Amino acid sequence: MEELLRVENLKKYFDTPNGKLHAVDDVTFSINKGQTLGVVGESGCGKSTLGRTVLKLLDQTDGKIFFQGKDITNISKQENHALRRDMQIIFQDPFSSLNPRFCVSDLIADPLKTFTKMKKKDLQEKVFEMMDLVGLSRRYAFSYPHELDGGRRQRIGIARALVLEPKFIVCDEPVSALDVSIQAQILNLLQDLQVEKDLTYIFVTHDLSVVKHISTDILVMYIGVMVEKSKSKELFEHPLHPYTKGLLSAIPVPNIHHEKVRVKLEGELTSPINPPNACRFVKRCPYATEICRHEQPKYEEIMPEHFVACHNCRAINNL
Amino acid sequence: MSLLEIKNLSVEYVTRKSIVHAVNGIELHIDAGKTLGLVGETGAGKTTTALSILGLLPNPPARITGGEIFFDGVNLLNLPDKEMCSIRGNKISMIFQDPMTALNPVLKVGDQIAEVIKLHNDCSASEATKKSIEMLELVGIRPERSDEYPHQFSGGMKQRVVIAMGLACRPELLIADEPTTALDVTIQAQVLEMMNDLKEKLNTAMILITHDLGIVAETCDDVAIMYAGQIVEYGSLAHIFDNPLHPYTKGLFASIPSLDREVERLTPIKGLMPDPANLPEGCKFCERCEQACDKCFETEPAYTEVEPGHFVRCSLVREAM
Repeated sequence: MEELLRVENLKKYFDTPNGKLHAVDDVTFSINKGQTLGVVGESGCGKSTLGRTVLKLLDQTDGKIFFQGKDITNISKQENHALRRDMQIIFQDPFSSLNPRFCVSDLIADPLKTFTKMKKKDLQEKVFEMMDLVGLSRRYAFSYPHELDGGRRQRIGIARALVLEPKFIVCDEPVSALDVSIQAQILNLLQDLQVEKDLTYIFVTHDLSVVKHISTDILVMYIGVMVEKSKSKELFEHPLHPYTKGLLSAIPVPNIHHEKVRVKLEGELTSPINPPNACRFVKRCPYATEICRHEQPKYEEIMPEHFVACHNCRAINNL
Repeated sequence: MSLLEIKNLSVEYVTRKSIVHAVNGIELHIDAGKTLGLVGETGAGKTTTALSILGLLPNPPARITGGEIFFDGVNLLNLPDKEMCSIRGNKISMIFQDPMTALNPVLKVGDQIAEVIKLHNDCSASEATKKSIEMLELVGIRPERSDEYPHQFSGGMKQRVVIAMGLACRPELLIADEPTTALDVTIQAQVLEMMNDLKEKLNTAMILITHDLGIVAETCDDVAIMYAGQIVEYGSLAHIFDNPLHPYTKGLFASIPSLDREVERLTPIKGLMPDPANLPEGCKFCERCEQACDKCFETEPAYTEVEPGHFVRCSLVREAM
């Protein structure tokens, strides 16, 4: 299968008064065309920063990004602008990501005006076509965002991302601001569009049931580092990293006959500012040993296509 | 007798343009020491119901247009303000959704908890402080942190402080309005587990307002499903999860991506919730219901008991029985 995006040792640090904040630390992965990579983790683990750095909305501190085989790490502003046609983002909050003074039609036409020299009539035709595609009734074309509910606003966000026919979209928590019944509508829409337009997604979310539903591969992050990556089904059936185990067992399951063994995670996330050279999960890990406190674990392929960063992974899982 | 009984409660918000019917004749009851899950989407009237129990509805624009709320046999809606004050925070207390905004940023957390205790108990300042520290320990916060300010706490810790405050006077009823929505899953699991333990220890009844059916399955005894200001289905956990009858309840279950089952496509409920200022004539769900017939558009279905303890508001289910 054709590889669309590859990220190698990507790092993104932010300067803070207290030191360097390691938002994304040494992340490596690749995505094939037409697939979805789900990125999960708790708030503050760097998943949104990862999405934005990949799109070059933020400049990376170190590392390389390849898109369609081409190194796009240090491209010029003009090239970057041209690249925007192929790489788009759907933002989390449909309430703050739309200009309140633009009507729906202007909002969707905006990317077209930036990139093409379409005539006004064609522009309007294309806007209507997009509205049909994402399931927005044409009568809203001249409504303003405040007149619409969250589900419809998110559809505008999707239409804006799709209007230039990109190849790759970062979906940054696109459904977390929506109610369940609307959430299901948007997830179905994203899946249909993926098949129809052969899109590739990075799907950033904290909701594991959503990510399981939509992703082919899943990457679990914890305070800026990747702790586990594998095929979606495999990850849910055989989580290997203690953090993933805790995360999976913390999800409330809407089934009263579901027997579950809870792996308890005590404590909370530690600070990502100047992290020590140790496993970042060590303070919450029930299996922590001496080596975990002194050395950052390597990211290894423990089983075929199943990567884990944990010193004691083999011992914990009897491998 | 039930600890809390709501009979035919209706609340509306009067605005210049229209009248918003937020709660339309709901019936609820909860027994001492039990947990009731109140489930529904944004705008279903869950928070309005909670605020009307506590007498905290802003008036105007809110207006209670009918119904009764009995707590320990007393109708709360007829109580003078002064008596309501002695119940609120004492016998009935509430945990708000967002711990970031529920705490006063310029007061130490210990003092904020002591305030509730001083207000409702006849005790000295030092006794109140001592008790506030006990409450903090109960929710798993070290006593020395009582002199810190809210901004020094993380989200999960802040929510623990808010819970300590809610439980400080050992209430008989605790209303928790989406207590874990703002928290991460692993922190959510910690907080829910702690709430369950405390509830059992203190024998507090709880109304848990949520939109997450997973949380309901893990913490509640009974469930009420709310839609457009009405209870559309009410029953025990087994009734709702094993034998959901109302089309909306079924739709909710089909909309959630599941962790145990493989589903290619989700089956969402089509359409959107009706505008509460302009509700449909008959059944409030008729416009989104797959099975709706003419009758559903004309007459409002009655709230009927289909099996002991299992209530449904749907004419089709009623006919099938």
